[in-house]
Order: sequence, then structure tokens, then C-alpha cells
Amino acid sequence: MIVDVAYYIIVLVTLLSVVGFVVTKDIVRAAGLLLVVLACVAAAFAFMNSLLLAMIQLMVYAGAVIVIFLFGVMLTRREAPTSRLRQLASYENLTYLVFAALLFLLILRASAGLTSPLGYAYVSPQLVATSLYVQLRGVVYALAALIGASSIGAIYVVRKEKKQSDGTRGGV
Amino acid sequence: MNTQITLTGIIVFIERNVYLRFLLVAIVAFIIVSIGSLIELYIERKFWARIMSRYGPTEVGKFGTLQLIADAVKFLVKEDFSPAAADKTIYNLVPVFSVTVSFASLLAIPFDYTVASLFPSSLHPLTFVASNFDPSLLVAFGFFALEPLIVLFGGWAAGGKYTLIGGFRSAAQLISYEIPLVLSFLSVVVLAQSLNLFQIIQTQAHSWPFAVLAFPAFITFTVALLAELERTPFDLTEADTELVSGWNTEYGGTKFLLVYLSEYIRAFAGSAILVSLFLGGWLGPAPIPPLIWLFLKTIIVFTVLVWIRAAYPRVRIDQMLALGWRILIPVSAVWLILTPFVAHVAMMHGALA
Amino acid sequence: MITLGEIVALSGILFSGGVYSVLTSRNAVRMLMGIELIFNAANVNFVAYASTTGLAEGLSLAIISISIAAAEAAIGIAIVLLLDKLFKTVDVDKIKELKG
Repeated sequence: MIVDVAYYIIVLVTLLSVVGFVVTKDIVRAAGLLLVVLACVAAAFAFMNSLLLAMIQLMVYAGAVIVIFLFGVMLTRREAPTSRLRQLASYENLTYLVFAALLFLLILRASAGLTSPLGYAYVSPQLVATSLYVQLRGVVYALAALIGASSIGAIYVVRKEKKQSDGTRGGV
Repeated sequence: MNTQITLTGIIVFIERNVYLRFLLVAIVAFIIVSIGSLIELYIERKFWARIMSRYGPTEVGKFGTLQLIADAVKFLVKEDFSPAAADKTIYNLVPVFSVTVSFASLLAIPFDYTVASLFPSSLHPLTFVASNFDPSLLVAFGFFALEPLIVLFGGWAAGGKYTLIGGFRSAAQLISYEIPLVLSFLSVVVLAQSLNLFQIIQTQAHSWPFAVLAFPAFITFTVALLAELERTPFDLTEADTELVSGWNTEYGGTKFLLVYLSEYIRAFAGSAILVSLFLGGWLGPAPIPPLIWLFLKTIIVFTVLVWIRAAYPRVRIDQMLALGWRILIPVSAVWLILTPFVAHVAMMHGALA
Repeated sequence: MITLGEIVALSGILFSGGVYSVLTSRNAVRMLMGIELIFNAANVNFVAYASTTGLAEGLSLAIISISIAAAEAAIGIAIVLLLDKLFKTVDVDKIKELKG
């Protein structure tokens, strides 16, 4: 019972944060509300009995992707914020609101059919590792090859540019 | 006779009610961590002072022990201001978030195997701190690694450009040193074959401590931990003799107390993770209970960190970035690749379980 | 007991919020943040079906999806920073020319 109440609180907080994210006119507050949404998604992963993915979500999304967005927000010029609600009340944006609401109702209709209370199976990290590195090893190899090739290319490009600009090498 | 029955009744009631047990464990862990942080703060001031040939606090309390309480009261009675250009919501929330995240990373560190010794006639031993869940190392590290976010929001929220730049520099340092931290503890995960901190400590019960088996990982983890905790030689972002305080310049009074406290709780958490991963956690010979062993090892590790702080000068920012990206990442990555071979050799000679 | 339908409703909230934010934002960074919301909706679905059936492939795909989304966010922000350098603004209504 406590678990149900906690889950409903998480859904409510997510809803309020998403609405706030869309409506607020200050981009840094939008990033803060996105952080709240990502933390709520991590809590939803914890409710589904996979703390591994909850922590990966927190470390990667809330720890790194939000930092990237904050850097992007703070390093770009933005014009003085006009009223976002007035912007959102134009005909074009109202059409989009209707579209998003219809999309949400469609998903709700699909989810209403899945009412069986299912116990959430625990998948241990060993099983995840087995499936990732044995069954899905093709994807892992492809990603590794891509990252390796792009890293070598990036190092080559940077060293060529540095050699063209000056000959000094800073640091250790 | 009556008190014996009541005590047993209370223990049985606690054990039958899961949420009450979690609450009790949380309260006891909170008390232990707070005491640990206060002891650490005291050691920081006295030990650093003695290395510098001065005495440190001696007036308040018998050897300056109550100085910390005096400082806390001083911070608490100051005026609660906020800069005019600040974003008040984020400015007020950042210290709270900082303390929450620092305490949350201590959820996953197993403090003790059993506290049966505290209840002389207990029926079943209570397993202390339910930290025997599978990704507990990721939980401990994940909350620890939410710091760049706090630093960026804190630096921006005060509304000035110097705190913002200080926030960027701190975030750059913290993000750069997360990678060698993760690669170092991955070597330990390969040796122990589990992400569970409880299991990692249990593996060290039957084998050599991982500080010996994964020695390069131990060194890179310690250096990366120094940079993650923003301690000298890596405290260039809050160099308090040069800049004022980096990202937390505009925080005063209670908010600064919370930020400062969260720094030392993170130091306790980082030292506890280092002790659990590399030095064997609560393992130790019999007469000292396991909880005190963990505490003792954490305090000794923190004393070594204070010693390093007193002895080394500060690095520049380009030296710090070069050390992180050019030296620590290749060393820890190469050691991670070599770890399975080391594990195989160690298993053949009985040095690993 | 939390039913599967409630989890899918949560992912529906995230998805529609992300789509609406991408469609109605003038700031390029806000658009990218909306795309991250859409990614999260998909991840919630992955993990929900993985823990319902007990198969680990769902969790592995969720991990791969999280890492690819992080890389894509990094590249997106790099492009936005270059846009800011070239056009002196990140307002997507004002960036109308292909030549830069």
C-alpha cells in the first residue's frame, strides 16, 4: 500500500515537472525541472526492481547529460525572455497542444488494457551482463569500433591543428 | 528480569516490521556518519596545525574539541541573505540538495556484519545497514558523482559571473576525474566478480586485500578521490588564499554551513568507499568489533588525506587536466585490461578466493 | 500492486511532454531537452517490459539506449554552440539560412 502511494506521488511529481518544464520561460529553471523528471524516472526504475538501471540513469543522465545541457545553456546568448504563456497561446502552439494531448490520450487508452497486477521480476546484474556481452555482443563490438575509430580520428585532427597553429605543448 | 523481556520484545517487534527496521538503521547510520564527520573535521584542524608547527584550536573545550560546535553556532546565527541578482529558488535549494546527495551515497556502504554483540541476549543477529543489495557500489558512487550538477547550479544561482566561472572550473575538474575513478573501481569489480560492496568485502576476507592485488588501481583511485573531493593538491577551484571560494562564494550563514558539511560528509563517504573496496572494510582481528574497524580505517585514510593536504602545493588547471586525461585514464585503463590475467595468476597461487 | 498500465501511463506523460516541448520551443537547447524526455519515455518502456517478462535483453537495450542518447546530447549541444557562434543567437525562428 505504501508502495502504491509512493508510486502515485512519483507520477504526480513527474506530471507537475513536465508541465513546469514546458511552461517556464527561464531556460535554467527548465533544466532544473528536467533534472527532477530524470530523478523521477530513476525512481520509477527502482520501483520496477532494477536498481542497476536506476543508478545508471542517475549517473549518466542526471550526472552528465544535464551538465552538458547546463553548459550549453550558460554558454549561449539568449534574448530577454518574453512571456512564454503568450507565446504558447498562439494558434500554432495550441494546435500542437491538442496534438500532444491526443497522443497522451492514445497512450493512456493503450495502457488501460494492461491492468493485470504483475510482480516485477528481479534481473540481476549478472544476467544483464550475460545478455549484453554474449547475446548482444555484436552491438557492443560495433559501438566499440565506432568509438575507437572516432577517437583516433579526433586525436589525429586535433594534433594536426595544433601543429599548424603553434608548436608548444602545455601541461605535464 | 522485566527489562530483559521488554528488550527482547522490542527487538522482535523491530524485526517483524520492515519499515521500522529501515528507519532505525537510517537513524543509526546518520548518527555514525555525523560523529565520523565531526571527528574528521577535528583531525583536519589539529593534525594540519601540528604539521605546520602550530596548535590549532585549543580554547573551546578541553583540547579544542568543542570548537566545531562553536563554529556551527556562529554560522547558524548569521543573517540569512541572498544576492539581489540571484535566482532565489535554486539558490536556496542547492545547499539542501548537496547535503541530501552526500548522505544518500552512504546508504550503500555496509557498516557492520552484525550488531549481535550490542544485545546480550538477542534472538537473531540483526544484519546492520541493509546494504547487501546487488548494485550497491553503483549506488554509492552514483550519488557521489552528482556533485558537478550541484556545483554548476550553485555557481549560476548566485547571479554573478565570477561564481559562474568558478562553477565551470569545478565542474570540469569533477567530470574529468570521474573517469579514472570508475576505471579503478572496475578493476576491483573484476577481481571480486560482483558489484555488491558486501560481496567485495567478503571476498577480501579470504584473499589478499585488493590494495595489494590491484595496486595501480589503488593509487589512481586515491589520486582521483583527492580530485573529486576537491582537496589539495587539487583545490585550485576554491583556492581560499587566492580566489575567495569559487562557486560557493555567495553563500553565507546556514547555507554555507550545509555546503561545508556536505564537503566533509563526501570526504567520509569517499574514504569509506576506498576502505571497503581496497582495504577490506570491516574486516579485522577479533577484539575490536567490525563497526569500529571500519570507522578506524576510514579515519586513518582521512588522516593520510589531511597529511597530503598539508604537504603538497596546489597544481595549476592545465596541470590538473593533463594529469587526469593524459596520465590517470591510460594507466587505469591499461590496468583494467591487465586485471583478468592478474586475477588468474592470483587464483592459481591462492591469493584470491 | 503497481500495474504495467500505470508504468506505460508514466511513459506516456514523458513522451507527450517531450513532443510538445520540441514542437513549441524557440530555443534550440530547450528542443534538445525535449528530445531527452522522449528518450526517457522509451527507456521506461524498455525496463517495464524487461522486468515483466524477466528477460535481461530489455535492460541491456535500455543501457545501450541511455549511452547512445548521452552521446547524441553531447553532439547536439556542440552543434548548438556552433550555431550560437555563427548566427549570434539560438532562436530557431531566426536561423533561416543554410549558408553560414
